[in-house]
Amino acid sequence: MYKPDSKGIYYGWLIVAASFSITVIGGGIGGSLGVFALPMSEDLGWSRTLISSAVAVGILISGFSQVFCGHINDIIGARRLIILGIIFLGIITILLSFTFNYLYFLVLFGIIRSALLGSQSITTIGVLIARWFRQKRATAISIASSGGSVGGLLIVPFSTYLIIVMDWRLTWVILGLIMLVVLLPTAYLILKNDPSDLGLQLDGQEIDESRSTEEVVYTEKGPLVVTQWREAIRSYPIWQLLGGYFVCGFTTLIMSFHFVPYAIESGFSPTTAAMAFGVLSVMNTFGVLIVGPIADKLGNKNILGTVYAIRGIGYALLLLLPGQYGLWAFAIFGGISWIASVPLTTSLTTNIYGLKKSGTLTGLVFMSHQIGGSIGIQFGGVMRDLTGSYFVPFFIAGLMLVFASLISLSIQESRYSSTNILAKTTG
Amino acid sequence: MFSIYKHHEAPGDPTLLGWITDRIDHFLGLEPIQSVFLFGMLIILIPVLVLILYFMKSRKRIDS
Repeated sequence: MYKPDSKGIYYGWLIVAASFSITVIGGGIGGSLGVFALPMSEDLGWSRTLISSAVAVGILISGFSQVFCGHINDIIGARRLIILGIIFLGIITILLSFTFNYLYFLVLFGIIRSALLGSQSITTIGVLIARWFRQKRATAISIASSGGSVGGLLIVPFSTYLIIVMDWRLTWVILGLIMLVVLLPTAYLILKNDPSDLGLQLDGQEIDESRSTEEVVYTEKGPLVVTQWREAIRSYPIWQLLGGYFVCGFTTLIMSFHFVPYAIESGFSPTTAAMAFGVLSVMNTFGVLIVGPIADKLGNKNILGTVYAIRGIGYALLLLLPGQYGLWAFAIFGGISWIASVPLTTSLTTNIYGLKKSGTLTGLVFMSHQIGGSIGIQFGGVMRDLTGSYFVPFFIAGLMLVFASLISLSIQESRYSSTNILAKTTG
Repeated sequence: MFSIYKHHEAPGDPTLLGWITDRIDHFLGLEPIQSVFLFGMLIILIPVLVLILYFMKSRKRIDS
């Protein structure tokens, strides 16, 4: 069992490293269904629309379930939630190899698995990390969030080639085993809910050895620090965060789901489209890594507002610049902002409302993201059919980002941010 | 290249994933089985390195 070593690296950074592993593997597997769609539909005689409908159900369910996962997180702690999630998700991933009809797949993948994804999401992990960091909170959450990008880079091609070498059933089994055999021990050994579990303090500060750890603890103080999540609903910042994240979901998922038809319609070759996405991917990894340290110095809301503005510029350039120039500009501007909003929103929520109900509140904000995303997907399709092109839906997405930028910048972060003060509890 | 879909676990479009896989094949020029080993090793390496770091830190503490 680990005992704290106050002279070495702060244990919180090990939590970040383990969280990074979880977002790489857990998140990467979560995003790999696309590579199963073709072989599964061919083998089982399904249409892609049928598989897409299970995905659509899953997106909404994962959004709503995040609130419940967040609530469970507040009750039992992130460690237990993440470990239980890995066990159940690993087993379900293996069980997907036995898929024999659509109902089995819909229930297992679209409903149960999607509901459990919240246990591994960056929202849950972000809340765990927030308990270990205050001064470098955004930086730490950013590093863990970047695992999502790395996971996409590794797990999806791994699954693709595994399906070619073996088949889709064995690939599900291997992905499930990776979760159970590799990820589970990492999470079990390393994750701890709180620095006090190891006799440490927030940010790795030294404990005054003249006092026992029972005598001094960090206490959160702030005008909006809540003990019940409903209290947050009566304040402005939560609505600003919900509004901003709604737009975030809308503007990312509309592009994720309509990019291929847009690229074909615009006459881009598959090579150009794939390369543009390569640039976008590199930029989003870069973007998520740089926003944390900057936000810790300049304030989360300023960088969050800037991130939405940059994505809005990306949409504007996509529509205004001729031919491929617009696509490349979007890859750069859209890419750098793509995931950067995630750590900033989690950090801002925990800074303002404190840690006690942070799981439920970040879950609520995430639900807004998924609702926005679901509406964005539908809106893009409907407007494309009505107007004959993607200009109008993408133009509206860009306008919404102006709104998201302004409401994020208007959050009174310095006024509402909580502070952590060392206080005596006894004697 | 696939990480655009990693904005909160949204699965990727199969058509685009196919285009991107073609690009990876073009750049790496590996057989599928070689790619499986390459990506598999990288995936397992990350948590293994984290565990090694954890055990080194634990060992250091015990030694001191």
